[in-house]
Amino acid sequence: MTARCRILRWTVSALALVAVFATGAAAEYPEKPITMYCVFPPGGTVDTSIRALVPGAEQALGRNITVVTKDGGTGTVGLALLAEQKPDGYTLASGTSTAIVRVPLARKMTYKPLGSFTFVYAYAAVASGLLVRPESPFKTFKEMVEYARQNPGKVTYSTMGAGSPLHVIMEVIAMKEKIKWTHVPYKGTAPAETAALGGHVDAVSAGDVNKALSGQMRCLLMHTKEKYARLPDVPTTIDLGYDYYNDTLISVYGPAGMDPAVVKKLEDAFAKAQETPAWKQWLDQFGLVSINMRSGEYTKFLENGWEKEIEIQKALGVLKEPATPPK
Amino acid sequence: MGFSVIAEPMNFVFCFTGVLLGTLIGVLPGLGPGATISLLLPLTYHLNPIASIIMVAGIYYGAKYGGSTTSILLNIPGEVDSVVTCLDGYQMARKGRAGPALGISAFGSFIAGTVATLGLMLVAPTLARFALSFGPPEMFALMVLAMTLIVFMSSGSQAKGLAMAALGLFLGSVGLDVFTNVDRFVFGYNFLLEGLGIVPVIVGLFGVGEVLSNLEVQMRGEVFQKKVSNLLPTLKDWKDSFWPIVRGTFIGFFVGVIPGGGGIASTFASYTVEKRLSKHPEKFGTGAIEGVAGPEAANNACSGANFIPLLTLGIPTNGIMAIIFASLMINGLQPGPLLIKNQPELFWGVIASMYVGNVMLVMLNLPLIGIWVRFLTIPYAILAPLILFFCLLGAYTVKNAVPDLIIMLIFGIVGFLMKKYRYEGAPLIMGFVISELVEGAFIRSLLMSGGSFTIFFSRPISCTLMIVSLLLFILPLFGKKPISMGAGDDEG
Amino acid sequence: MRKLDIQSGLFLLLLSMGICVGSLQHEVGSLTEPGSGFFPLATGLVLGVLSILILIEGRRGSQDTAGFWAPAANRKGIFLTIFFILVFSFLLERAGFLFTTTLFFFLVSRFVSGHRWSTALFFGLATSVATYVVFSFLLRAPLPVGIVESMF
Repeated sequence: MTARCRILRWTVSALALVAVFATGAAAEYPEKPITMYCVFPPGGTVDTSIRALVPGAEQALGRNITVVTKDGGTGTVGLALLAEQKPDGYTLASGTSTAIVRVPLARKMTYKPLGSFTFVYAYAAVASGLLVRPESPFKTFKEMVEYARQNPGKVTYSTMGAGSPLHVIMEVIAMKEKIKWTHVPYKGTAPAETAALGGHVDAVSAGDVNKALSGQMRCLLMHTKEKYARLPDVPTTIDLGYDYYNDTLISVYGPAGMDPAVVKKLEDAFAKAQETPAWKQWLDQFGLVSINMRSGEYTKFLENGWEKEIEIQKALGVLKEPATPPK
Repeated sequence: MGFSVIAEPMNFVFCFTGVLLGTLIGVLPGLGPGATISLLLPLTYHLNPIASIIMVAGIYYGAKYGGSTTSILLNIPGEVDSVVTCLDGYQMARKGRAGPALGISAFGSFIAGTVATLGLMLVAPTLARFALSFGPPEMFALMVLAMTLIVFMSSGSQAKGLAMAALGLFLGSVGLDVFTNVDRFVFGYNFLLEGLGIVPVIVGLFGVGEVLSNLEVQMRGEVFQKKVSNLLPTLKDWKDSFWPIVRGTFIGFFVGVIPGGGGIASTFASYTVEKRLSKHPEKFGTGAIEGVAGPEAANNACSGANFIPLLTLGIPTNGIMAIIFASLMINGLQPGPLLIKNQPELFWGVIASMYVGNVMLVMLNLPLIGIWVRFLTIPYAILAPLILFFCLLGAYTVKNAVPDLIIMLIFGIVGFLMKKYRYEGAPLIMGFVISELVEGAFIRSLLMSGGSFTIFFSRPISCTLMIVSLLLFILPLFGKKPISMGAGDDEG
Repeated sequence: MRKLDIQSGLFLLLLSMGICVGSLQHEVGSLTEPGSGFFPLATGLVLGVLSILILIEGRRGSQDTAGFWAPAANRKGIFLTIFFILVFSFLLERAGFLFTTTLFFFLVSRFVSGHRWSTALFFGLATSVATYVVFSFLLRAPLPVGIVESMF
């Protein structure tokens, strides 16, 4: 056969080989075990959530996923580490959207919040709310607002940290209601709730309302977008007309530049994992809301969230310019 | 009823596994129960809740028993809370009295652990309510008391001791400020955002520092114990230790119930109280058995008491309790005041397991004393790399972070220098540990009162504590034991 | 005049000044409304006062006969140990646990403790493997796998 014919055959074979390898690469994923950083401390909501989700995902992917704790700075330490890893799909992280849309506004991060990551999947929404101890004189949220109006600065509330969504939401309400109340930050939810239980602060803006579900405290307000099924009598911030809610999502991230085929595999795996009884039981116990936000939607969500958060914080007067450029 | 739970073979096995693992972890320097328990957390998903709680609890108080072992033998705290045992325990070992130190430590721990469990059983709910009333002003007043006690802690120059405490207080503020989200003294290092880790600092200061100091004097062939004898405490030891153990148990128990009350705080408190009450305070720091008996008892009583807020109110008072809290939640149990009512088998089962666990631990640890002391006959040339390795391992595995190793090394050098210049590590650590508590309580109290200082005196508990601190501070000026300034630091 | 105390006192004084300067970069606030710089500043000031006291003590104290290093001090051992720890830290996540630990033991045993190199090597391998086993299987803690291990 002619030389040209031979060259053509070689080229086609080579191209075919490349094509096989390319799809082969995605088809073969995952070839080895996956490491999942958990950027929050062990025993916390995020940590237990990912550990409840992982077995189902392992089954769907056919590989082990090892959860490694890399906590610190509300998740920023772990995410900073993730940003430096290879985007081959073998290193992922589980954290909340706070480290993407909130913290980088206040402090300069080594990573670009919107540019350094692939947003793989968001699997749960936080169901936070305002809790008071049973003996509290406030029976409804409006009562507390009115009392604060009459006595500016006297009403105290605790949260798990300054700058957290729980803090911001209270200040947004204060801004909209034109009242002033005093924030007492703690390190973590448990001490914040203890302070409220002991009467040292009037209320706690808590990350979860489990104490209300168990009857140990009363819930005056929910921060969810829609009415919380387990506490149907409690108004949400949207119900009360504040046009703001706690949109923190617990999600899985990867470094920027992941292969879309790999991302799709992961999305499917996590979606599947959400159907397992282990996940449903966890949801039940910890009181969160399961959501299935795939990569495309989640990325858009975060980009909008970034803009919205800047707006709100500027309105509150706590932000001049974002400390970190998004991309 | 609880005993029927523990008699169940599965639970018994888990209890034993827990205390065994706990002892092992306690003995290894730097490796704390926190790291282990969080690693074992996924296992609890598959086990039945009672068994897993029993095991985790076993690990926790087991570690307190084991923690004193390396403190006594090598001046390295096996567990962060065992730092204080290093002070006199190690000195006793150097005098060939490691056996009695370990023995009294084990027995003191046993007595304290059992009494604490008894307390947990009897007064838990009432005490828990008391604990709730401990808010920021009370905490601050308690911290003032603690700082007054630091003055008495130093064996040598008081000024040096206080300087170390002040330095410790400063080092504790490195990192992200809880109140303003501003990073302090971080110099752009992300890993410092959470502050300097307590484990790398302690392991570096006491572990690496000690090895470096020992290396300097060429301790290649030297051993601490020439022959394995004098294993048991003498009658005099028992007599001397009795009241410290009793006092330590009470101190530890009360400190343990308070939210934020940690093992280390209770041991410091016990040590200073014993030193203050002793007829021969100069002996402290050179091998006074009271300095081992009291803090060890306090440590164990504290760990038992830590369970009270968790089991009765559903409030975890420290990181490990939080993990147990999570494990309860995962298993479908709602921690809170109703836990005792709804899950009596759990509550009583855990209590029964604590009794049994304490007995197991004493039985485990006593024969081990012989082995540990034999360990001391190994030439230092072999021990040194091993010690260094475990320090490295311990510091690294806290957060799987290499920067922690650098912190450890820096503090190792600092520890070496401190020994040279005759400064003590204990006040530094105490300052470091309470730093966040002091600043936090102060600022929160002011936030609560709107800037007024009267809040510290308008509330009964905090007012009492403040007055006590004031008295403790003034009294020595009138008494026979004035605050010394630089006299008598021969050992340093 | 206690030379050592003077040295350390001076050091602490300088350190306290550094702390105070650093604290002032932050919002100090007031006594009733403390800012993020308040607490560090307070500790810095206290440290400063105490370091002056130490200096005074040092001036009044009895003469120090000892120098910084003890007689026949094993300086080599100390510096080598520090260096080896640095080596360990640097290599741990790059070369993996087994290799780095073995190397560390080998180096320390050989150069600091003065064992024969065969003993040192044995020591290193034994400890690193034993620890790896304990951690991987009993405690399920992942230890760094590095280049060396992934070659197998």
